[in-house]
Amino acid sequence: MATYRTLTVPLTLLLSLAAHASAADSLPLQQWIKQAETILRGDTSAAIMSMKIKKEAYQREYDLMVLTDDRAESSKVLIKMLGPALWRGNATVKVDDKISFYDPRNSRVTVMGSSMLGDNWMGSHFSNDDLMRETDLSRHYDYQLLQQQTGQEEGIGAVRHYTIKLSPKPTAPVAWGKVVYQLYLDGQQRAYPKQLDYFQRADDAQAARTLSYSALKAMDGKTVPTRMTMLLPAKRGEFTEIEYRKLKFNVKVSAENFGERALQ
Amino acid sequence: MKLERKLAMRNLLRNRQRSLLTSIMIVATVSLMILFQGLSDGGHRAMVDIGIKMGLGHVLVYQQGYNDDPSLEHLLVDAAATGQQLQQSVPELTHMVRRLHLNGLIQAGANGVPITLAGVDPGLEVQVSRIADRKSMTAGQTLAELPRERSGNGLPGIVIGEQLARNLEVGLGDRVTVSVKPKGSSDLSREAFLVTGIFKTGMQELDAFWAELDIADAQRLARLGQEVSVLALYLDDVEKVGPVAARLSSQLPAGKYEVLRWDQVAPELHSAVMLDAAGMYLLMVIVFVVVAAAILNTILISVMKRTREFGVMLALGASPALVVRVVFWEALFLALFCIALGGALGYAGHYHFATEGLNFREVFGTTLEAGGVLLPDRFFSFIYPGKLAFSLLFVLLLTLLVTIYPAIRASRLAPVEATRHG
Repeated sequence: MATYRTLTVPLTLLLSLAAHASAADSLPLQQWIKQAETILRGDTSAAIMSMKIKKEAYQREYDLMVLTDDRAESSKVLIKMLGPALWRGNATVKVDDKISFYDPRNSRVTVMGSSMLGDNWMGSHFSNDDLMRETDLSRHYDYQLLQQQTGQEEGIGAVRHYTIKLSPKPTAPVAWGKVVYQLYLDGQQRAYPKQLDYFQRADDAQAARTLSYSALKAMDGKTVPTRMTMLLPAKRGEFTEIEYRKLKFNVKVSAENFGERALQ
Repeated sequence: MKLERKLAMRNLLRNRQRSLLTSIMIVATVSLMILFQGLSDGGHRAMVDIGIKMGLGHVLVYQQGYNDDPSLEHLLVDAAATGQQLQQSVPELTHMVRRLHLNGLIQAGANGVPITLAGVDPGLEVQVSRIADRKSMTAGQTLAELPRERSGNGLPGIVIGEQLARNLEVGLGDRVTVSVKPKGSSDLSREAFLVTGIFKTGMQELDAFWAELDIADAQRLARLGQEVSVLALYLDDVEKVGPVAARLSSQLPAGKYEVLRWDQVAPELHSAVMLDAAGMYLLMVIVFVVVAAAILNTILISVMKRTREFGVMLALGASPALVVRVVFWEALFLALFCIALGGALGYAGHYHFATEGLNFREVFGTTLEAGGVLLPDRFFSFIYPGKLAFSLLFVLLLTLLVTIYPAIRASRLAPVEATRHG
């Protein structure tokens, strides 16, 4: 143990020196993005949220309950519909890269195949594929700082805004040509997501879709954005809005909460 | 005997106008029949040929069970060894290609389309396939034209249909991702590809829902070894398909392999050809009925016009059988002459279309589709010798058949009354 410690101390010292040497562009951009992406998660979390979908053809509103568990290597998510009555009990479970759907009316579990990936998730502007790709942004891209400036955010105070350009790594399996990620850091260097613009090609001027975070509120002792809005510029007037009503971190959940039995 | 033939010949030549009229009809029938038969059979061969080149093959070898459940559980495991064995035991083989078919999702930006991915041997596939060969490419390069070694961190290439490119809103050089469910796993395997070529076949299901990539990329994507979905065999002649398939079925261990002919794998193409052929036969039958009636008519009139003549023959002591034979000889000479002439004319026409080809687009101003297959712009007349011989014989028999009634009528004339006749 003693030898281990004597070895690690100079090593970390060396590493931090190297980081300082390469100046401002060695900001931990990737780490910020990872932090911003998981701001609503914690180790485990339980949330009640409402999802409002506005499309040209219809408008819907759902009440959802979401459980997440990121303690183990394989992350788990359970989304259960609480209302309206017609949809009550419908559930989506994601364990690692496996997504299953549960329909209470015929008590059947469907494991998603590749052909269903491109479909809308529950009629929203999110696709099943988006659920699969949660960790993409902090994994498959190269990061480049475009802009930084100081500003104010309601509920936090003085913050520093950063605009980061994400370009897919050469052979990364991602379908976007470019993502522009706007986030900000508070006084404790905690990262909050602000807006994400997804571009089909790296040189596109118009984003294919925009996800923005707003309405900062204190939830379970932590200030988090409670509203997520997905906009598609090509479809004017359409959006999907998710609003967190209640959010608790580090709740007690076990693997059973994500098993097939939990669905019923 | 000699007398009968002499009489018959003279009868024919005496009234040339009448003989000529009958001849024209038979000659026209025979020559047009040959021409249509050639074009129709040539067209069918072109249909089959093009169908076979659209991702099929003359004979296809699958793992047993693949056709009932085309999943990754039913792949040919020892494709290489089986391929070698086939190459040695099938002398009729001109090409053999391996293919791996996968179902997957192709994505670009927010757009995703579920498609069929075909992993192919690029070098071999362009020789036998019309899906993504040089001719069908509207932009970019075929898989075979891509450099074998990718530079450093370059993405592997993928070739997609024109409609699919439009639906994905991608062009040449754009990045797409492909997701498939690998064998025996519930997660997904994803990889990024570069659109290096865009093809157009004219078939909706290929242009909108098909992509081709190198078989090695496909195998890696599906986390497979050397497994393939199918070994597609191309023979030197489509007519040999039946015997070769039957031979292979008995040769390869049963219960392990499944050997299918193209018409079993693509029954819709086969029935399209059959339907068209049946239509052609029906048309032929109608034409033959009309022609038979016309021949009957001319021969009957020519016999009735000669009532006095036959009456004199009978009065001079000719037996009724002799009269019958004379009329038959007439018909036979006429038929043989006409079939020879018509055959020569028809064959000349066939020869023209067999060498020059018939340009469909010039004739009809549009391309034709049959059984989901776009026909080539130009196709070549083709004649099966047996079928031709049968048709010619049929015309001969038909002519003789319709002569029976006039001949019997002529032989049954009452000599005295007949001689008094006009």
